[in-house]
Amino acid sequence: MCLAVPGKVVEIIGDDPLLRSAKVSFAGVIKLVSLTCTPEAKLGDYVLVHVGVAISTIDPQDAEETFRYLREMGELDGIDLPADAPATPRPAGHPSPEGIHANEDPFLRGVAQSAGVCSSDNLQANATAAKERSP
Amino acid sequence: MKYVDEYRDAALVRKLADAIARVTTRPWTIMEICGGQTHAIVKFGLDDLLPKNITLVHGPGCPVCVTSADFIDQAIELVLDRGVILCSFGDMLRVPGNGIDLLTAKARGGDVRIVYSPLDAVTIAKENPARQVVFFAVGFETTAPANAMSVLAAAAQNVANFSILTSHVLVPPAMRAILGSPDNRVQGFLAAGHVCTIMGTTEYGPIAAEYKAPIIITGFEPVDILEGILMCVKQLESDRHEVENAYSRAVRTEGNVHARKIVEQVFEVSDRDWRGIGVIPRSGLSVRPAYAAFDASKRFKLTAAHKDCATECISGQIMRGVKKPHDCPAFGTRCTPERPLGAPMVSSEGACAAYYRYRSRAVVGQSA
Repeated sequence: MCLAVPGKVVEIIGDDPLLRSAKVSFAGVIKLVSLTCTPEAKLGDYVLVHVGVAISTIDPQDAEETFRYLREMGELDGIDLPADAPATPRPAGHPSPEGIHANEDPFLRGVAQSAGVCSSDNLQANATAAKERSP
Repeated sequence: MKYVDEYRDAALVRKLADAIARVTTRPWTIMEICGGQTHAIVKFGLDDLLPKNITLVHGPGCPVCVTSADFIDQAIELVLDRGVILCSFGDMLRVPGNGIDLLTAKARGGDVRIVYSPLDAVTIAKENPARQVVFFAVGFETTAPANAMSVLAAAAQNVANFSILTSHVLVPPAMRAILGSPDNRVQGFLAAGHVCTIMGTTEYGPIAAEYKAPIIITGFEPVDILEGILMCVKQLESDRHEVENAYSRAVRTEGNVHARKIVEQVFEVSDRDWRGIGVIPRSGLSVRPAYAAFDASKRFKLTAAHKDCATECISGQIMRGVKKPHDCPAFGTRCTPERPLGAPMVSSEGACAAYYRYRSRAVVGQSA
């Protein structure tokens, strides 16, 4: 239920703080999202979206934190990770050979389609997704 | 998908798992609070990557699972007896009340509609001015801003036929209830990242200090979760019990002040009955009297007759980390996602559903 999915702000609609919303792209799937809780969100920013509401902007520097922490621990020895790893999206269709990727993952693909909430728009979608997810 | 793929890097996951193995010298039991984290752990097999002496137990962070059967009965009463349009997140429809579930109510002619956002329910109310429209507002702190916004939007646009049936729950009181329980085995927590996105991290310091349990604010991808576990084990091994943030890209210390303001405007803290756990004082949110006109329990004078029926479901023990899904004799036999005895088998974030989906071949009665 607390699932929130990161998406890119591609168009901002309205400037009234209470009604401001945006078109947000989730790996190409566009949904209308309220920016009421994230007045700082700008075009091109990534926002974390939960049930149609952007609950946070994602700061690329904050996103780097995990990787910086791991580097400081020396745990990334031997891993060829670019300095700005979190801010550099992999080109579509070129996933790394070992990673587990959103666009290959039926669950996350379903999430992206329903744009950030555990409940889909209709039961059929739920049933299909559940079928895909079953062992 | 940016901010997802890089946190699923298999090489990084292996490095983190190795680091956890290196720092672990004693057995530890860690609870992840959020059902989303539970599903990621079971789905990606993260627990299999950990040393044998680290046990992950699964917390109560699935609002669908902890919504009391009485509330579901109230929602069904609204649909079948009062003729309202009931809007709900999809997960709630299969959860059994004391009798039937909402999907059965829909099959019997009730107007139950699945929505993506509470704001969509306000739109449905505007489109159906002659009908009463109720949104079934369940959720943790993460969902509270959206639910509060639906009330504010209805108030601002004079949508008088809209109201919400609220069964909101709060995480910190549940953590206290778990840690204070006589049969508690949890020694450290992975706190629910998106709850902290809204509320910040300041509520957790007193809990960590009082119960001497490290609390790591943790995200939802494999790298996030293993990083949270590593930080937690390091604290446990060095007898520290602090709050640390392993999800700083989405969690600020103060949380989201705009969202908190909206939540505080509409909701007030109240006692809440958690399914399978019982009443936890000051562990929920209810609509403030100023917005009583949008409170379905007031508008329809619903009574909260408590009649939770006894079943063989052990979800309460599972959600307190005392047992695991495979410990339940009904798991996978008398209780399945198609015919659930309890909510954790239904919800897309319930622990039992996660084990059924990804671990159904494991031996029943043997903890994973």
